[in-house]
Amino acid sequence: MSEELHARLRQRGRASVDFLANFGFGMSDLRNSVEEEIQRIVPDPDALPDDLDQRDARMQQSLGASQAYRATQAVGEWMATHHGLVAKHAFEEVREEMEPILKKFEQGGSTVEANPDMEAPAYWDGVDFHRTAGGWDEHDYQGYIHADIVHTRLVAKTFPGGIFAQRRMVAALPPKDHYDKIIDMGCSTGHFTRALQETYPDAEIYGVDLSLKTIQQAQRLGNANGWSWKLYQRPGEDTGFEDETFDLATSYILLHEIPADTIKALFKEAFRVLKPGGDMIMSDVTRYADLDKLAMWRADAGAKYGGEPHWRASASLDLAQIARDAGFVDVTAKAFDPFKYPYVVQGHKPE
Amino acid sequence: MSADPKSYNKPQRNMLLETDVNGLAQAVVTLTQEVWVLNDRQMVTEAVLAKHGIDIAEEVDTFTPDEALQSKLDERSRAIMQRVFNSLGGISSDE
Ligand SMILES: C[S@@+](CC[C@H](N)C(=O)[O-])C[C@H]1O[C@@H](n2cnc3c(N)ncnc32)[C@H](O)[C@@H]1O
Repeated sequence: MSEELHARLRQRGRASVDFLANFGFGMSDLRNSVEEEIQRIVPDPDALPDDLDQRDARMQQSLGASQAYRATQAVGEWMATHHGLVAKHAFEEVREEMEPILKKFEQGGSTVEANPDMEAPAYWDGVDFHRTAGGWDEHDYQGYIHADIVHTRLVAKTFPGGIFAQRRMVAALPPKDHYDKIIDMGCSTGHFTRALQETYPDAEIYGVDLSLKTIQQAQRLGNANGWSWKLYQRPGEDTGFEDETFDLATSYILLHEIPADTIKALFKEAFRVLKPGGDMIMSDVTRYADLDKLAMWRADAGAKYGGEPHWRASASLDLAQIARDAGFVDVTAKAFDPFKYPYVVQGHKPE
Repeated sequence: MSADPKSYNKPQRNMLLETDVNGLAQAVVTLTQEVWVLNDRQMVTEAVLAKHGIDIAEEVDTFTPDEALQSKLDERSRAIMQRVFNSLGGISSDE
């Protein structure tokens, strides 16, 4: 993020955001205690029920006897419901001085095409993803609040592997050194788009996302860095671009936010808009198939209480097969250690 | 797609049991004490400075801690959270 775009929060907002950033450390004794309890009640993960709902019921029942577990749940619930509000209040304290800067970076080579008539799909509309009240689009500056406060000051502080370094690593994976035209599906506030532009400095980059507020933030990021991104409020599964337009089609952690049939449609759309010989790279969360039953339960419970209605179905899919079904060849899938994250699928559109 | 994705906005969740109210009361009082200590410190600090003719309110509001102070702040906030969360969870803290 350009320095100018990085808000200087006032004391109340700054300290409140720091409080959230330190939350995981504050919970560490509780978590250690719960961990010991889990090891005790689940000596063999394989023996847990196959069915995910039954497995969760079993875990909740066993762990429900632990005061530390109950406290973890209660404290975690506070975080789930409050992080978005704290971030929003922190922004409101500096809105007056930030607004001219945000407006300034809406001018420049990066452009946004809003789509007020777009019918927002039911899998997205009104869903508070990540339990953030209002989802991706509630506040005028929701994209900014997400990118500068939630991602940069909270998630980036503790995310294993680093959210920006991970994106740069993935952006460098496609086989060619150069791409003329790239489409980034579900580009949101532009974190991965940025990694792409830094990796392929001459590429002309297009981004699509359902959320207008997030692509407005991507626009500011693009302009603050002198990049000319063309951003569209459009669904990734129906981008409206001509056949054979792009050399590289990408998405980064979009797929777990959309239902299975939409994921299939999205791969087909990527295939359609790629030129013959074009490359595809899609990254998403750890596959359930790469986890033991206990780790899978952890991921699944995290999704259930973390505002992720599509995670379970999405993380259960074989994305490589979906890519092949869409027409891609030389399809590879790789889960990065140590957390089998990100999970990266690559493929090629035949000449 | 799962039945109604919006049902994930406010998932049904029973986090605490009746027996937890005891721990909860302990946690709330611990927290109140911490908040009070901080309030006291801040008011005393401002009063001491005012005695020397310095009004710090705006500067405090716009202050960005340097690295050394930030790590002290982080340490302190983690310790406070641990005290409160641990009493809620029935874990004894050393402090
Ligand atoms: C987790 S974010 C993507 C993160 C982003 N690629 C990055 O690198 O930070 C998910 C985004 O996907 C968008 N989205 C969800 N469904 C979509 C769809 N069908 N087409 C395009 N964007 C979609 C959401 O609005 C949200 O901005």
